[in-house]
Amino acid sequence: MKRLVSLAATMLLAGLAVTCGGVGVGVGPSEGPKVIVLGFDGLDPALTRQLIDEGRLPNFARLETMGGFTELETTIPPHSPVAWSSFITGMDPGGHGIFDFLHRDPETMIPYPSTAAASSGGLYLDVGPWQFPLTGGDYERFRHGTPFWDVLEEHGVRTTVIRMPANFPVSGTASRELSGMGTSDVLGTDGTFTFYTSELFADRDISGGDIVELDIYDNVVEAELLGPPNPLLREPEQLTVPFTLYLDPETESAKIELGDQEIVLEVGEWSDWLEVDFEMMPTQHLRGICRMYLRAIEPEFELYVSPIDHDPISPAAPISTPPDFAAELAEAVDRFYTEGMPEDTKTLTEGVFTPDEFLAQAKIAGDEVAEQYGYVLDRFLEQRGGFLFYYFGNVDQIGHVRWRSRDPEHPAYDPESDAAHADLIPTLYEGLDAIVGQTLDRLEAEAGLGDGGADEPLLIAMSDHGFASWRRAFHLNAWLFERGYLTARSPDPYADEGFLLNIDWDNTRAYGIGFSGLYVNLRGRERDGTVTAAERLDLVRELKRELLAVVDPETGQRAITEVHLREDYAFQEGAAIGPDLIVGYGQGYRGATESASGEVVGEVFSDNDSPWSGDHMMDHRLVPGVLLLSRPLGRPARSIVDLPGSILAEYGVGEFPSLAGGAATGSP
Amino acid sequence: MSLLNAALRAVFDVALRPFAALPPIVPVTVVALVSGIFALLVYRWTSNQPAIAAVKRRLFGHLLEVRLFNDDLRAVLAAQLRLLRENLTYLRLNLVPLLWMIVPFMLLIAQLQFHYGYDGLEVGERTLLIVDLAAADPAVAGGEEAAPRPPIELEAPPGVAVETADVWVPSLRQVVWRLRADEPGRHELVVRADGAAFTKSLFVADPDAGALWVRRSPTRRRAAILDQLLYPAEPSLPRGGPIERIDVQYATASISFFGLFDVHWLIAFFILSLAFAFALRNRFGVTL
Repeated sequence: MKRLVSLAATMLLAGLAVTCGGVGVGVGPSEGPKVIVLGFDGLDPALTRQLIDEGRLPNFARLETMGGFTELETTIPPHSPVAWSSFITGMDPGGHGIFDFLHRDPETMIPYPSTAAASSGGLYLDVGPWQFPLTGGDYERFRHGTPFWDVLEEHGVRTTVIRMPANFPVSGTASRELSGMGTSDVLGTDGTFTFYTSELFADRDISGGDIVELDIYDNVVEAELLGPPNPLLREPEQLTVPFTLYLDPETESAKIELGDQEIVLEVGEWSDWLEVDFEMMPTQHLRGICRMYLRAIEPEFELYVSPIDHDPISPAAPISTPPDFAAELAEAVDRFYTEGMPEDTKTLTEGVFTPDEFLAQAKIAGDEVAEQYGYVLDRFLEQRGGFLFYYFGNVDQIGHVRWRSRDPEHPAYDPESDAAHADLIPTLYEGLDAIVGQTLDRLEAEAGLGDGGADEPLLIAMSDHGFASWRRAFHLNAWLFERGYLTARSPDPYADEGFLLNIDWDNTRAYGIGFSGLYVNLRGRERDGTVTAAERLDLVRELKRELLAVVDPETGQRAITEVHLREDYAFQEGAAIGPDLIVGYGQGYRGATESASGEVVGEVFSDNDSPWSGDHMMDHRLVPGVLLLSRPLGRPARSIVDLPGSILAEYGVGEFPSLAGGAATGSP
Repeated sequence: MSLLNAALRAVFDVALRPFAALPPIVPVTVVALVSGIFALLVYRWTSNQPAIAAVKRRLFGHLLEVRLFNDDLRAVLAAQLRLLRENLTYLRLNLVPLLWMIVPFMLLIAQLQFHYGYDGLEVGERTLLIVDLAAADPAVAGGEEAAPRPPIELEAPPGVAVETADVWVPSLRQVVWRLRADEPGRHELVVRADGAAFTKSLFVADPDAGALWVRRSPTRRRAAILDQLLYPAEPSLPRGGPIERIDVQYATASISFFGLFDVHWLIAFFILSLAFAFALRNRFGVTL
């Protein structure tokens, strides 16, 4: 009987000890002071200054008093993935090799996302209709250089890097990491929503989404969520998950069944996260999550389904370090958008949502990030020392599509709807101010901020670039076409499908792709190059001279105020993929979206009548970032490129990136 | 059956109450220990122990045969056949105690499922209340095609908010509401249909009290025998009434298996009760 009692008692005690007390997660030692960097994408110094002076940002004002507020020089070009890559590596684009949102493969002349792409498995075992990958498919990150947190970890500093842009797939070297801008949805895109409607002939090609027409029978809608092609089939078919809506027009609500989940939505309501299970084969599943928004039942049925993101509980993509960290976050707070830019701006630019509907969606995304910050900060403050980076993208994404509410001179300014949102962006800044306040209070109370001790913590609030109004669009390829540098296969704008497909390469000397990139059609590099290496530099100088002389006939303003040559970068190790010239637009101007995606014919100048009314992809001197400090840096930073070196100096680590093993080494 | 279920509910509520605030692996271990002993006693009383001992000896002998005469194919094949036959005999001898045990274990598992099979709602969490109406009498209702909205009402107690209007799904004969749990406690929802009132329990966990493992009933159904056996957590709905079933959604729970992994309580229960039974078989003089 003793054995029986002993056995039962042992199991009970083990159960109590482990399940009551929980498994202690060792936070371990970390060297040096606590440093927190709050990355506020697109925080503009002029507006920040104005709101501080108006007393609307009391915590930013606290920071300014403690350690100062300066402009932070951004990169050339001042695009988010470019600037954040410089922050990560301490190198300019010539070093880290990220020059734009889009690059092109000179061998195929096909554009591709600049920061990362999915690659399929190389070897397959074919069995009937199935193919089994023998080598795993993977994601490839294109950024060169060594992240500064690699060096910190090597020096014993525990690092937490949350939503760092251009860090997908995650580096795998931080102690805790969650990928940010550049992270795809399950389709492998930047985020593709689906809009289901009963309206006849509503289907049209839109950017960033699909419109699906549906029939309704007896107030029942049968539909499918759309996934990627099944990679386990030799002849891939699109993965789908069926769902059913039962509409009740009388109460303007619907019951929705998706798998074993049942929800009720009234018109105008958002669902919580719903699990989506794509069955690739009976034992293999791709798990995603989505939110639904019931927009209308009558006169037409309209349902928005968000891009299907990787489920953080069991992601199929490398979105966190350690791999279960994303699940830890989801279990601690809730599931969350895992795609890089969760604010679904395309719904607004494509006319699917009203501004208020878009803002409701963006608020959901922003609230998730802010709520998760509380958990991450708690965990960070439990440990001794360490480095924390946390990214907030809400201001940038909303700023892009609502900036004109601050600019009555904007050609698309609508006195009625825009005036109502005139205070929207300042209100978002106040939200960031609250984050700063929360952090300062916690650091003062729990980490000795302001004590003046040897390891006094440091809070840095910074942005990668500022913001400006985008009123006029400059169509770079149309200009090249007009000036004879580029020949189109068809001069008909309606025949131009973009993606450089309308270019007659044999008679083209230069072309544009991306928002700032201008490339020479170089023989030996481009597939159908026409310009010899000896002619290249003369052509580049000629283009620079002519671009700087371009004047908008409607305003009389110079449209381009800065043209940077690839050779001008201090680092050259990653420069080979970059443009030959980087075009910096003047105040109020930006490269046209059509030209950025490779369309070549049309007007050279046009009014920007899109909701996308604010931008920063222009002359980098017009859109500097922000640097606010809780105490002066030991090694001052003038530019975003300097900042990682300054952070390392806080831990007594010397020059960066040279100490990190040099440029263009380490990461793929 | 209703009386039996009511008695069992009372017994299990009282018996498991002391464990309510403890990790569920603790009561599951205790119940598994008691169940393992119970199963050994039933096995000893209802099985033919000498025959089981004999068949096990023969099985061992045939295994030895295979090992010793492995160079003689005919002998090995003959031994394999005998092994198969003795195995079937062993299974037949186990059938009788299995039949004795199946009913009490089903009743036990059904009761435990409603204590450990579902997570309680948390304050602020949402759930659906789904009322399935009985099939309409076409002569009275004017045919399926008309499917008029039924006169059905929901009364929620303080602490439970009804967030939506009643969603009428004629094709499923369902009325659905979305509820939000605002206050902890065991709440009684009242559904009024055809002049009668039908209650449905809703349990909301108290965040200050930690996890509380008490009876949660996701479904209340009509008094069919199988439903009464499988869903004993609430009294059955009256036969012939206007409502077939009333459901609320609780998430399926998993429990920590001594901190090693999370598992459904039933798997933990089977692992532990089998382990206890094997560990204690000699002490109880049972040949398994």
